Amino acid sequence: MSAADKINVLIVEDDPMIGFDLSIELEEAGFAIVGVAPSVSKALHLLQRNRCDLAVLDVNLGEETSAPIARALSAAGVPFVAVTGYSVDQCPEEFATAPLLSKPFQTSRLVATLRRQLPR
Amino acid sequence: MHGLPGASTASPAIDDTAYLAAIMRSSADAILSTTTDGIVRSWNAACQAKLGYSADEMIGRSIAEIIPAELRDEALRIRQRVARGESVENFETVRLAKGGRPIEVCVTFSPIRCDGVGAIIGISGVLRDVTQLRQTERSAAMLAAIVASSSDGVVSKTLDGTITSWNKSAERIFGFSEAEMINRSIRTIIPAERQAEEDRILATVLSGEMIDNFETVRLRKDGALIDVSVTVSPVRDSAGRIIGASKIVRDITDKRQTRAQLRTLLAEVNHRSKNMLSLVQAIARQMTRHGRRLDLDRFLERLQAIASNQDLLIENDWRFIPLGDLVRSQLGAFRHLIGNRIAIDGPQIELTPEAAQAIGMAVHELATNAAKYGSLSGGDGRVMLGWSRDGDHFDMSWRESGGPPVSRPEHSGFGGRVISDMVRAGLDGEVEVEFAPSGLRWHLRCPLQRISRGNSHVRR
Repeated sequence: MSAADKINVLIVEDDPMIGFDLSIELEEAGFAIVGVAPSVSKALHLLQRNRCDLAVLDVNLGEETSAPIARALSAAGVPFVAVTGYSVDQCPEEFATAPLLSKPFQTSRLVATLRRQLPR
Repeated sequence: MHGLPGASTASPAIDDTAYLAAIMRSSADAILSTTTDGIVRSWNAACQAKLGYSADEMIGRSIAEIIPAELRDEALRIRQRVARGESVENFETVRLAKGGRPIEVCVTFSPIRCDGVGAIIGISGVLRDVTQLRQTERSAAMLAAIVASSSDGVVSKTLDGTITSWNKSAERIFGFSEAEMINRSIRTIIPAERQAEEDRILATVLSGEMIDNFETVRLRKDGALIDVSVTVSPVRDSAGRIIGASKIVRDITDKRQTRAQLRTLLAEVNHRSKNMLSLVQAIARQMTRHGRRLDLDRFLERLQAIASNQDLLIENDWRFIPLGDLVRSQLGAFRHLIGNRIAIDGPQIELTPEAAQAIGMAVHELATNAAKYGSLSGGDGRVMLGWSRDGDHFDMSWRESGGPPVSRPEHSGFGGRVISDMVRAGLDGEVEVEFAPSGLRWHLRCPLQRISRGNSHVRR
């Protein structure tokens, strides 16, 4: 698979080490990383300027939640997977229909969940 | 005066006297008489029962014996008034029983006239003991004062829910005055959708049970809903019949809010603890890449470095970490070198928790590397750690000198990736790592806004 054929994934994660780890893990699993965004503004900025096929969203970004990113992705028809330390009922409604992985999780589970979001 | 009490003769006049004497003897009220000078002339059985002195003891003695010293002037004035022909009715005062025990009495004084119409020859006194009555009144007044000053709303109602009392705190909690609520239905303060509660409360009260701290919602005069805790108890009359209910209402708005805050806090703790486990997982995963075995000592050192960040964060109410404190904490193992071989210089900047984690991990890795291979491995080398603000940008550098000659390592390990790739990605920054022969040089430049929230968090 050439770089152009790779699936582009946006990672939204405010913890620098976890974001860094996720980007390495997903790259190793064969995805192309659009970027690691620690905030809503950075994520929306990256979405405007890059082709994005999938996204991994950490629900809680410290001072804000990634709900606005979830809305933008839904509007653009980009599927996403939510990862969070919250329990399901604590998540904003924007994540109601997205698959949710509770932290911590194994990379293999995230990769499998991401692949299931892709159109066949 | 005719004869003595109890004397028996045939004349009707004497019969009347005997009759009156019998009434006096058997009266439940204490009846006594004195001369206008206050010398006791008669003293009935009830006097002995109430005051303890017998007729033999008192007749012929001054009535002052049973008057407290401080009330003797008052008694004299009354005696003078009665001696002039006045009656004094239901005069409340205090008298002393035998042994000096004070009793509260209600006395009616009347002049005694010769043959009922002539000159005043004495004074009669009819005494009732009102000690118990007054005590009951005082305890009732005390209870009323307690209810009035209670911080809880205290309300009473009849069995059909008509309000019969409404204290000051009930006024404060509900906004309705006492005048507005007396004779109104308690249902006035119950929201429409909760009216059934009152049926249940009344049924419970009628069965003789109490309702303890029932948490519900009630309606204020201004239409606002308030969270309250209600305790309702049946009120019985002296025969034990349930005639109404007392209601104690406590405003628990604060308690509800505290509970909601606690729930938010617990959700936050849930989120943060799972995030922390993810962080530990990420470190373990990155340390064991390419099949490397986990160096447990290094792994635990890194966890400790992250744990010390947590302490600093808590000290600052979980809002920020001062960069100077962060650096000193991460250099804790080299504390004794700070100020001589390690120079630290930079303005105080309040880092976001995320930036503090990235910078803290980088400083930890740099210091560990310096101690193993760099300028802190020998006895002479130095480290200069400095940072500054440059408009919207933040610069930070670590410069080693005086240590063993340095060369680029063959491959980048976990520490190498932390100080470069992780910091670069996490802080949107540029990182330069230079393996100069004189010593390692590390430089970070990133947007100030990525590490600190707003300019108010940055001060020198």
